[in-house]
Amino acid sequence: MSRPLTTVRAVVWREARSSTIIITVLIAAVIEVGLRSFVASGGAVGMLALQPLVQNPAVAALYGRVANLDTGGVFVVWKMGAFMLLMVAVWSALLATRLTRAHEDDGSWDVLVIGRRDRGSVLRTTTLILALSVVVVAMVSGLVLLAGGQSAAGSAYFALGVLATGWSGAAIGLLAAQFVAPRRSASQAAIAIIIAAFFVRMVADSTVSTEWLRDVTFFGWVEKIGAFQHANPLALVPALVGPMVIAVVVVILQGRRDAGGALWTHPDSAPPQPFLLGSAWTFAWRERSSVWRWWTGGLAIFGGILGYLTHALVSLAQTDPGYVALLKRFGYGAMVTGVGFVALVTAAISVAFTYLVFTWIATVASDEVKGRLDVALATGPRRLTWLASVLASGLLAVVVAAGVTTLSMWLGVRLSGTPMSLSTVFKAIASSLGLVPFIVGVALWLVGRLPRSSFVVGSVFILVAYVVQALGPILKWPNWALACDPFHYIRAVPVQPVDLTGLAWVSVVGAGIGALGLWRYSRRDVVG
Amino acid sequence: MTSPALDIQHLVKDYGTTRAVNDVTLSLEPGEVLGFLGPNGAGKSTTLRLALGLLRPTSGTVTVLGHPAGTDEARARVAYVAGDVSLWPQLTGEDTLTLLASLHGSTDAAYTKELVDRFELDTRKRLRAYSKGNRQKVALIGAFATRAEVLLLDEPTSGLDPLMERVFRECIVDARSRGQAILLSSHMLSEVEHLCNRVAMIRSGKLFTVADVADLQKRVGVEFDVVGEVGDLAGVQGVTHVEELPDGVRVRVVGAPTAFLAALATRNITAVHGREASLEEIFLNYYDESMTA
Repeated sequence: MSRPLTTVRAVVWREARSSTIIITVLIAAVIEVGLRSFVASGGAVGMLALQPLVQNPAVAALYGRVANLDTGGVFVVWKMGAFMLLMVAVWSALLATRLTRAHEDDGSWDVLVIGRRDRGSVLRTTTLILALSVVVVAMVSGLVLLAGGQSAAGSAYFALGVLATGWSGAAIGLLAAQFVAPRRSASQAAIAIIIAAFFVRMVADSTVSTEWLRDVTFFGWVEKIGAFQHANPLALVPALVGPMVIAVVVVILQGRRDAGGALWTHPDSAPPQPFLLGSAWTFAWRERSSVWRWWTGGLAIFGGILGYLTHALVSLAQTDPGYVALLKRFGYGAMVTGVGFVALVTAAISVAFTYLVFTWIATVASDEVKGRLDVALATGPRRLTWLASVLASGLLAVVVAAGVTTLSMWLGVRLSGTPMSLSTVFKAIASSLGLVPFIVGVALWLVGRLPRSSFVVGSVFILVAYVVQALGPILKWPNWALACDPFHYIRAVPVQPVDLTGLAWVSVVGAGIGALGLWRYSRRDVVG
Repeated sequence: MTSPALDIQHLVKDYGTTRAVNDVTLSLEPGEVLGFLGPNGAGKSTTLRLALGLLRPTSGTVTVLGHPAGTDEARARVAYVAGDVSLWPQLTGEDTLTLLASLHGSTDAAYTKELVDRFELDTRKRLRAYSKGNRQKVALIGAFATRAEVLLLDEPTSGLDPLMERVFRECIVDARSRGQAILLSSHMLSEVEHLCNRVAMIRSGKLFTVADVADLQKRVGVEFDVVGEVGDLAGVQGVTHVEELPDGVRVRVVGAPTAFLAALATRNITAVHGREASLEEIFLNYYDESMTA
């Protein structure tokens, strides 16, 4: 018979394993692609022309500050670093709430807390597994850099940065799980903190006078480690010790609250709110309205910040012919104007709109798996009506979110002092919705065919498709491969014309996949 | 001729190579309460989910008042309570009842209020704050309030305290008197015994008996505790089982007990206590038989 704590470790690791493997593979792939991009762009010599761009405050706000792009390692830190670290932080936070709050919500922790094991020991074991999962991701990221010919010290510092970020995200997730219940709320709180920390880092890197803000965010601490640049071991202290301190605080806090409870509790009672409960069509919106507020708020802030950066980037372009030439070489020549910049960034925002629609529809599958739809589908509307109501509300959600983002970005652009009409921003944002019909089809297919894993499969698909679109052209991948990527058909509107033919084909493919999904959904068993 | 409230014919459900429901044929008439008994994993919930149209049968048919299960007409005539109620945690009890009423389309609002009072449910609380028993109450109120012609109840009282179980039984009696048909899957055999006219027993996906409770009791027989110097009763007509007790014997007699009583008249006995078999004993008896068959 296995020892009690060994059993807990095995149970927790089994749950953490899949997502750890997925995130490790993704990070490794992104680093590898980054290193190849560096070589494909002419190495250190080719990067010389990018130097003004790197030093530009607006770009620094987006990507973080680096010194010289003289090695593949620095290029990875600069071009992919912010994206990767954000991804690692969000993953570890979500894993933390899943391994702790979710188990308290469903009562499965009660099964583990028996005999000599108390809640504290289960939490400590869970935290250990969480920390080790991040170690796996960090080690592999360092090894991929090392295998790619980068310096051992730089690779080690980069891995430590990934470790610090993952641990920080996990610590935030664990902390949120102590304060907030249920898991969904804890996850939302943790992600909000992480995104706020990321925005603070952006502000910190945008001007010299705000540099001090780097000390108040873990993204800033990690940046100060300076992998492949000015290695700064001292910056590791807050970056690595901070999460450990939070972990100790979490163990103490857990001992001061009831099992299954949270330190901050919403009132359990509320007056009746029959608003939007009159039909499946209206309830589809009400059920997801809080998620929609988070998405729309986040996109509005992001759009506003990007809009505000327009002036700085355009000014740089207009004073540096070398930079303009470089942008043109990379296919980003449009960025030398305000309209071009907005067009390019909104094309990138298309991934957010796509993901919003996908997750909206995928909740049908998650609700079904949890058994919430049994009564509704057994005695209420038809399955297809239920799905159609969610689809309709999802389309409304993304359109309204796009409208709000349009307005905030336009305000940002105008505040930065760049003349631009609202209709220009509108055209850019509207074109970024071009993949919505396709992703609706993919989501319907996943709900119909893979209800239990639709969320993970769809998320990975969108992420991979976006990475292929972003890096495929730089790596000179064959046209047929790029043409298979749906994001390939999103253009930088209005400086480029909408690819109506391409989007029509992609939409037709989406419609076909969606029809198969609907056919399957209407005929399969309801799971749960 | 009116259609049965629920008509299941040669129902089969396979999951890969596993046959979860095996050639089940069952009928439920309006105004009837049918107990559906079986051990865990016997196929009770699967049968109910097939009857609701949530699962697609491998073969066989299910109709609700003549309409194929899962169709608009069938869904409008059934209400369902699951053993482990899972609904939207952010909604309050009242909001959930409002939603369930909206989705079903027809609900007796006055009866809903009455049920809320009878089940003593605090409807201002959010679902996530409810205990299992209170979540069960929400589902029961939502189902009973529809006044649906067919109620499919899968372990509906799990988590309810004895007082609420009594309220539940009263609701079942009300529903039966209104002509509603009820299929009651339960492990609470005393509850089934109180409420059901007939019982269906299932094991490994296969029905092994469907009969009136009274008939089953007759088949299993009457148990007598006989105090005194009884002697050997093994050969007496109708006696199927004899068990020694400290002060006498326990005897099971199937059929008319005439021969048994005549035999007792010749013995030196001081007391006789007789009682019919409980449903639990019947179930265990039949289950053992089905295992050895």
